Amino acid sequence: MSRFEEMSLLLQRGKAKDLTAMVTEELANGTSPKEILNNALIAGMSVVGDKFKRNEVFVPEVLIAARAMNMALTVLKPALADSGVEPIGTAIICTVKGDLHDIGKNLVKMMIEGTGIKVVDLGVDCPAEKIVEAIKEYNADIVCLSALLTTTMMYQKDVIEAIKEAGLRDKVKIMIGGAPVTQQFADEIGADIYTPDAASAAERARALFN
Amino acid sequence: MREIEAEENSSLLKVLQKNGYEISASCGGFGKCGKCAVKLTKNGISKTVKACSVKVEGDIIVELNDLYGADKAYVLPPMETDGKDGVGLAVDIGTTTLAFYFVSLKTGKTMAVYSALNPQRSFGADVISRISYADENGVEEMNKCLKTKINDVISDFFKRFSLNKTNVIFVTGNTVMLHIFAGEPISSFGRYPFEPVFLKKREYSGEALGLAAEKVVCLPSFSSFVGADIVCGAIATDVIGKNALLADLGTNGEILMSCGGKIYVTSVAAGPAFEGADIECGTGGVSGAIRSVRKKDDGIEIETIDNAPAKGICGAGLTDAAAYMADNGIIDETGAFLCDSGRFYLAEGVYVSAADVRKFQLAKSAVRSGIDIMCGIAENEGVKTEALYLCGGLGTHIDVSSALRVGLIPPALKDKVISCGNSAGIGAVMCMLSEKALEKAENIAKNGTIVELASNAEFMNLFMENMTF
Ligand code: B12
Repeated sequence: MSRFEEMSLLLQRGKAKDLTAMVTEELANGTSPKEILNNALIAGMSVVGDKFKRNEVFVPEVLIAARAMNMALTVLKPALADSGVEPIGTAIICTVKGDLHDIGKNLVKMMIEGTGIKVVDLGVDCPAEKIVEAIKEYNADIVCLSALLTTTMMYQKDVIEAIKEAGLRDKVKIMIGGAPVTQQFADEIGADIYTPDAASAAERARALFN
Repeated sequence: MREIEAEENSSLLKVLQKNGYEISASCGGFGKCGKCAVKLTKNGISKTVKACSVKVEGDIIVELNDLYGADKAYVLPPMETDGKDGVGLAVDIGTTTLAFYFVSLKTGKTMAVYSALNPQRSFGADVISRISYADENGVEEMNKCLKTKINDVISDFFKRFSLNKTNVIFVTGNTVMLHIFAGEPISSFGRYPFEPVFLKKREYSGEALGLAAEKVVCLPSFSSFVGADIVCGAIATDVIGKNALLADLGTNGEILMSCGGKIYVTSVAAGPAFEGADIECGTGGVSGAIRSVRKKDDGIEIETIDNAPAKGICGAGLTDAAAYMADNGIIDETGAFLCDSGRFYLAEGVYVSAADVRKFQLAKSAVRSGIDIMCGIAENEGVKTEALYLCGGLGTHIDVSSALRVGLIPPALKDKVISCGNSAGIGAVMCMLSEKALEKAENIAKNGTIVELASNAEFMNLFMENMTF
């Protein structure tokens, strides 16, 4: 097994400390931070994502893996910055106004981060104005909206309208999701992308930069 | 066969609903749940379609699935009464089912018990779907069909007993149902901070509401998501003053903890898995629903409601099935299927899928984590939880050992579980019969501390931990 594969496996099993230690060791050995990111962390996260899609692993396992990845990223990030590796893009994510459910949003966030995209989390109960502001402030490429209630799902439309009104619609891709959301609904309100799960959300986000 | 005229291009689901067919549409007609499937024949070609996604064009023949049958209600124990004259009716408006208790106000004796499906089901299975329906269409339709149903039941009762008057109707149920009943707007329930229009007891003349009774009383609620049903449950089980939990397991799990003289309440939105919705072969507690799954020799033995041929699986059956699957290496402790097929068959055509297990995990973990939080509060008060009263449909029918095996109930409460049937309905009858009970209900509702879970970090940790088997 290669060292990358070993790290990928540690990530998949959520062994945060072991993974972070190994990443630290590899950096000291002079392995390229970009290769660690792509061949170990992103590779590992995409295995987790695939398994999640097939119902082989579930929310707690994904969360544990994502936590391991986050911890490893704390040591990897400075090295990435030093070697001039930039995030491939910026996404903004939130749960929309009126809704405090955040587990799905957090999974989507971690999975998207796992593809090398920078993600700004605006939290829950997020009004449209705040989203519009954040698009400008962070020069975002993607806006991800989560809603778990049939009622708050309608607010995703208001957000899209507000983004249009602010003249930013052509600047960002809008992804929506959450249990009650469907492709049909996404089409109706003019969102660009809908996916039923976090792993596909990450794949589609990543694909925007290919 | 019945002929209906409909406007060209109108939604088939809406047309059927308008014509009085109680089609279930769990998701509220968003094309998500598939429960509104009907057989459609056009130009001689038949296929199964979702009624909500079909627009009526030209002549079509529609065949409906078997409609839900009403299930059996409970007979009440003798109760304390103030001894007034006349007949009273207590109605428990559940999101799914309605329970009616006609009682002699003088003797407290039950004259008749009815149960019926809540006709609002066709506007969505859970409260939020009904709220989003009301966002666009108001509550009038849902209010009307509910009251029509209540009046229908009353007139049947009059016929049977040659009576022409009910003196009083007492109404209990979750807070949203009470608002719809009272004709109050419910949109504010649909989004944070979920403000109700009223929580306190309300009194109406029957005439004002268009109901065949002199007086109508709406019982008090704790909060937007912990309703009069739990207040009544507390009356029926006499839990206040004890150190004990009362839990109503349903789409919306309501939990009350009475400890150290205080009352805490919370709600966990478990989702419709416990009521069979959103589960591939799921069904409500209807004839033919698998309600029990047991190990037998090398395989399983199932039991269905009415011993009818298995046609689906209800909440109690699903809990049993999950326990069996975890015990017999069909799923592992994380809920992953160990066999490739990703399906576990309970009977011909009835199975539990890998995705179903995941939904079940979310539901059971939400409830268990809510219970854990409440037990933690009791511990902080320095008291031990002495009993867990389980009420509501699932609470009454669930097998306690399966519930323990899947982790729905904490092991510490193993020998402390008491099933208490429709305690909401019983409590409402008690309030109707005795001023003292009614006063007590008002006090209980006033004194509940609401425990908020959405921003509770402890809840999140528990929710992840309790996902396992
Ligand atoms: C956990 C939970 C809670 C927790 C929330 C904890 C938290 N911090 O999030 C608590 C108990 C606090 C809660 C409260 C409430 N809840 Co709740 N809750 C649930 C439950 C059980 C699980 C939701 C969940 O976390 N799923 C796991 C995650 C991983 O899945 P997910 O969110 O769907 O996300 C996935 C996809 O949808 C997608 N995705 C998500 N977001 C995005 C975004 C983008 C851009 C993309 C592409 C994809 C995507 O990717 C994710 C991973 O694959 C569901 C029932 C169920 N079985 O689903 C009800 C449920 C969502 N809740 C519901 C309700 C009604 C409520 C309450 C209003 C009522 C109450 N009883 O208290 C409150 C209000 C909370 C609030 N203030 O907003 C209802 C909604 C009904 C409806 N028709 O809209 C549900 C469906 C249950 C039900 N049927 O009654 N709830």
